[in-house]
Amino acid sequence: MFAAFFAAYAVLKDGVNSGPSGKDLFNLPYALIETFVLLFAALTSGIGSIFVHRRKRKRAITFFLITALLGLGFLSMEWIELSDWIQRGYSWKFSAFLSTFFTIIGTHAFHVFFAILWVFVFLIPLFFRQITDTDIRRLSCLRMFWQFIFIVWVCIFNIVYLIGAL
Amino acid sequence: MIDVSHKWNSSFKPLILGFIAAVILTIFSYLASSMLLIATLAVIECVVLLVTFLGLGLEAKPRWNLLAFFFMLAVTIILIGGSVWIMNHLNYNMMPMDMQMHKQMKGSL
Amino acid sequence: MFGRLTLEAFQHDWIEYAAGLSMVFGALATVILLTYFRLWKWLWKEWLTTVDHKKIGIMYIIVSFIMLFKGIFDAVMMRLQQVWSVGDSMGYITASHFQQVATAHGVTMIFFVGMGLMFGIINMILPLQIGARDVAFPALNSISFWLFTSGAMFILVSLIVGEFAGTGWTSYPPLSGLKYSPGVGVDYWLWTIQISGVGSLLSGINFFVTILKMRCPGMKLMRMPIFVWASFATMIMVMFAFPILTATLNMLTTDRLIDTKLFTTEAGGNPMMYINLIWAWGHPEVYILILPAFGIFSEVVAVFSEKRLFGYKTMVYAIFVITFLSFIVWLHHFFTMGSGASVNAFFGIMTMIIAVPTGVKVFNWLFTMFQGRVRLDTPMLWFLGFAIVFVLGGMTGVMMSIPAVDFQVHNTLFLVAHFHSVIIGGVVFGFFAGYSYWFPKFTGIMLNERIGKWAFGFWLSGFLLAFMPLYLLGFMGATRRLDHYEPQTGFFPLFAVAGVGAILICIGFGLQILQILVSIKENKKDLSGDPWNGRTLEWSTSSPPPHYNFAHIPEVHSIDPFWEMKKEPEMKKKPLHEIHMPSNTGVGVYLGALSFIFGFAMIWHMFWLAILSAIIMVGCLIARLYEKNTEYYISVEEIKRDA
Repeated sequence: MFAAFFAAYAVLKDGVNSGPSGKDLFNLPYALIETFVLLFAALTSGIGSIFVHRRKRKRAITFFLITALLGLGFLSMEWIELSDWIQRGYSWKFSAFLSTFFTIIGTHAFHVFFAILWVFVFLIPLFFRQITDTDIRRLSCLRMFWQFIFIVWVCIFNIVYLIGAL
Repeated sequence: MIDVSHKWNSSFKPLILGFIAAVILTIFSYLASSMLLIATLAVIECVVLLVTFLGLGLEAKPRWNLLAFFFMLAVTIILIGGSVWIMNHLNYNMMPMDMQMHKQMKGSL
Repeated sequence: MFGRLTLEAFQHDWIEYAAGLSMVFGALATVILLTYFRLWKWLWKEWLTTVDHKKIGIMYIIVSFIMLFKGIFDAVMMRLQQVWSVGDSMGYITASHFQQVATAHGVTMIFFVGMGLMFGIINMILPLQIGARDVAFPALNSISFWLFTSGAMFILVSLIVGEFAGTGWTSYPPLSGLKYSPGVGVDYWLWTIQISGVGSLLSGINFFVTILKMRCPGMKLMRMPIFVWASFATMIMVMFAFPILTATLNMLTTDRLIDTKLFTTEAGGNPMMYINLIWAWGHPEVYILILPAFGIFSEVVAVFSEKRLFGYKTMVYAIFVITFLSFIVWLHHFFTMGSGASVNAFFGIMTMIIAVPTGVKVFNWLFTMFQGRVRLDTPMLWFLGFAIVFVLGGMTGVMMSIPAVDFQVHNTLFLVAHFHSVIIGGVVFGFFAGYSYWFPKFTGIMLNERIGKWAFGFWLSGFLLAFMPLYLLGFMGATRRLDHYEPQTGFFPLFAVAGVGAILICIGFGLQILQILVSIKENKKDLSGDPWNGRTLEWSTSSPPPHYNFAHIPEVHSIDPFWEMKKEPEMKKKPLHEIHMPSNTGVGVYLGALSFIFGFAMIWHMFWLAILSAIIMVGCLIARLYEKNTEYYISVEEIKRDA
């Protein structure tokens, strides 16, 4: 799915409608910080998952909560960046470039949102009982989800932000 | 479903390794100024993350995950590469241009 | 509060009223009958909430039959218009209505008949053939079915509330974009496919895992029936192709909903990118449709030739060559869009190559028949029909893989005849072969052979009469989706013949419905569980199988395991154990219903309702995750009672 979106981006990114391109809009240091926030989230989800396997309930909960918070931080940063553009008139309606940019970032952010939600969905029962095998399975999947989210972001950061700003 | 007994699953080392590698690669990518370099670093970073964080290629045989990954990679490259190739050709052939620009671009194919 | 839904949405012309009312009447009649016979509880418990793959498969087929009826009706309407609307006469429906019928016909047949029938059969047969008790994720299976049904509802509801898309089943922008189709039609189209597409993707994952992880002991990959291999490859294609569709439809949706400029003709958008992406999905999709049918034929030909399938290994390789190649031919759907010689040549050559593995399979089936004891029962007749019609269609496909030829016949009736040849000859005939072959297994009664053979005769002759003229018409210049033409073109006589063919097909379909009723009345029970002298594991169970499929999980030592088991009957009585089964769940029904509400709300811009239904859907998923009673045990006494 992301391949299809990236294909669309590759094709449409030059359709700027006499408006701004990536070079004009991207704040690279800001995007770098976003990248590190998400990288930490991928790391903490991995650490949390190891504690789940070792059935260390409190540490597992802690690290997955940190993951969720980092994810929220990431989303907030994106929200701030993008709403600033929208206020300046550069929303997805303006040009094909902006449309495809918002589509990729939006789809990714949508997945981050659900990853955060699912941290809470899986974590809440653990406040009340011990870790079961089902929990291990589910949290492993969630951890993989978080790590894939970061890998996709690496592609977005490099291809969309860095190369786009060259 | 997942090979829960895998030693890799219970060790922090690969995670830390992958994390540090990712930090370094990200910073290099940030500082790079050539498209090729950025793209290469991105690929390396993705591979490092896939192996250290997600354990791709470390499973016992039969290595279904690895096979699935390669198929996905193939489809991704075909889809993106193919689309760019096709759309570039379409854009060249179907775009209304004046004669000058047309002659200019004729060389690129 | 109602978004853009007004009373005007309920206004239609008399034909739409008639169709809509008869549909509502049919639904109402069903509801009344269920209430009168007090069958609601039974329906809910035994069918709607079931996670049993056999029942889910049957439900898929029932929904597909209903949609097949509708799709054939659409086809007859088109044939009628094309016979009527010549010269001064404008026919009986407007051009815009005709385009909606054409679009609905395509969507119905591909998504809700093709995909439905294939997924239905895979659901029914796959676990049995690999010696498993169910699929890997039974609840997900139910969810997939209900998403499928929910998707189908959109087409049906569009007949009453609003309109359907008039853009052709692939709905290209800019025609399908906001500017040129501001109404709800294209939105209906988007949500019907998007929602059922999610169902398909989930099934893809489900069956893929099932095949990899739930085979019975001894069933190595290279001992699996070819039908299982075909399903495996199909699921791989589903998993990789459907997300492309999701992304593409998503982009068209945002273009229409929030005014993105992805496929517009202005602000840098590029409608050709849509065409590129939709066919990057569309081509694997048609192989997704046909590969299970090939699998069915592999089963049928072997059993009805009483001979092991010829060339097992090459069959497997051919399947995977097709799988891979299906991802690198998609441009042949738009040779004429203008990508130039080098691009067209590459894709043309790839398309020609993909015919080769298919040819290998056809020859393998024929070699299986050679020196076998061929029994021309109905399933085998369907294979013979397939051999004629599909091969013809395939050959015309290779013709069109030459870009120069395609430039002449693209989007003419030649193309239409080609894909109907391969889809009807392949998918539909394949389904009917599987249907007549496996019907006794799942219902416990034999189908009336005589009516079956007559039905086949009508379908085959009907098909030939309906579509051979279309090849000629295509050469004569008749385009597809044509709702009017002048008599000087000389099209009329051929359209008239095609119309007769359509009527014959209707009779064939009618006979098949009759066949079900007669067979139920005759009640010729299949008591052995193996009426055809089968070769694979599903025939080792009773007809119908117990809901847990096998009292003992079989152990397999070769290809065609049941054939081997019959040669050396195992006499040792193995001890019975409790069987672990998944419980029924309503989550599928709820998600299906909510997805329908969500889609409907999005179509009519009732955003409060869309958000609400989305939140409740997530809530349902979370509730399901917290559900404790997801499994139960069948006692040994119960198993003994079934034996």
